Amino acid sequence: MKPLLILGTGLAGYTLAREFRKLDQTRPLVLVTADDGSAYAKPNLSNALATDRSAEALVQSDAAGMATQLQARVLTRYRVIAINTEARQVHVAPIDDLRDDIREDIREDIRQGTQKDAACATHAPVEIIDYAQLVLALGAEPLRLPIAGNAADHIRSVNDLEDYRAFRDALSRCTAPARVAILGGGLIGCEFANDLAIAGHAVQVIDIAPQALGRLLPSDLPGAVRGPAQALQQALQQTGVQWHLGRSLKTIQHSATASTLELQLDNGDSLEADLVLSAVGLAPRTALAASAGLQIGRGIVTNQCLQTSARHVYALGDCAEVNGMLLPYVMPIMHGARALAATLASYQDTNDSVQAQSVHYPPMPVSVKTPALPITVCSPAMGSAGAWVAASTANADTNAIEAHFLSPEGKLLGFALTGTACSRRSALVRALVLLPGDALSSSDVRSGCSGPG
Amino acid sequence: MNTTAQSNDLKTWQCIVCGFIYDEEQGLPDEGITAGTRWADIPADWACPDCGVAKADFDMVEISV
Repeated sequence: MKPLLILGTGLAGYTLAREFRKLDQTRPLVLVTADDGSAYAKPNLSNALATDRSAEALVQSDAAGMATQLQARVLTRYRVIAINTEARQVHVAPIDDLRDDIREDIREDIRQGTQKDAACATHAPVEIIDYAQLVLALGAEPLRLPIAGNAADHIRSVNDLEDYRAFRDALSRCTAPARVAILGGGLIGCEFANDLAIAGHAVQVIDIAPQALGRLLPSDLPGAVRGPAQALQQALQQTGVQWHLGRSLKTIQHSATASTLELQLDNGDSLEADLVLSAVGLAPRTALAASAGLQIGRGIVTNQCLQTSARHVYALGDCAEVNGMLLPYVMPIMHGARALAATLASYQDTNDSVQAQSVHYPPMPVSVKTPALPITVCSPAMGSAGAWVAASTANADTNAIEAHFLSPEGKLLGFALTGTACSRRSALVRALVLLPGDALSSSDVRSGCSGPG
Repeated sequence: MNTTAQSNDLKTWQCIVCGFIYDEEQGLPDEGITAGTRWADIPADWACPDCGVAKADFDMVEISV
């Protein structure tokens, strides 16, 4: 029996493996990862400094523990060299043994259709894994802004546990309190700003948008003294965070004297920092899928059943573009993993087919874990007609803001909550109206899921 | 056991998947979980409001506050 092969052991890979094992305890399961395969909750990376948790403390289980728990083979520190969707094979090799020229040779072998045995003989460290079904759970890569200056390579990002370990180590080498400049005032930028401020560091946030959480929150809120973004900015400011909004970083240079970094903004302002953390967004990892000939859009293109353009190949999580939508954060992974596990578990070797299940995403509010002022946002579907309005002004707590996004007919399509108003979340989710044209509620017919096969 | 001792006894839990905090003292009244409800007493079909993982799928970890 050929295995189910999952590439990636992040939240998507391990969650899918766990859901699959609930339904199928017999099929061999193989997971491949470039890191050490530790299982951890990624959302914790941006709130662990306040409680002084080390990278080790965030690990829930190591790769060996996960292998036992999942009855799986977990290949750690392996790199995928190539995917052959015709032969249903994945070529992998230990990262430490891998030379770039070998990688290219193997790609060429595959392009030429060279026999697998020949490839094995020539390139000893390569292992070829035959799969029944393949899932790409590759995640996303931090975006890098083009910044000039001789210290541009000192801009860090924290996208996985290794990054977190390195960032925390670097912080500990700074004279306390460390001066940290954060590029990007989005969800991750704000969470890190709050986390670092609680840990006692001096934080400055630079964002080209005129407000925090520019992609999630409305710029102004008719009927309210201030909008949720302004409330968050003020709350973070009270913890010591300094904002440089509507500004962009032009250059970053080493100072002549110490280890200080000198940052120059577009308006000529300059500031000093010990560390610079970039949190300007993520891009789905698509290169591997592209090299295998899969259809790529902004992410790896899938239908509502998470099937890619290649038969028996699926994509889940931050690397996937589901029916034209990138679905970031945790909740879509949980819903996707459950539906995909059912599809994968329905696979029959005898007729080489599955009963594909489409994913139904409910409203998925996003929580911004900023203790200074917690935020919950449920964005309206992209392109929805309507406007944000303040829902309540009667509350004495000025930090408790409830904003609604209403359609022209007055139907609730989205909401934003701050502070104690976050407790209104469940009630508002129940009140949400999903429009028939909403991509997330598209029917199975339009989702393009291929049935048996 | 008196009331004070009981409230001192209440714990705070964190979802291992997403970091969601459940405070037994506060409960989740909006979701029908009254203040003072212990984690053990939350129904098995409850799901974490932040990440959607069912209670049965993971253990909340106790955190010190």
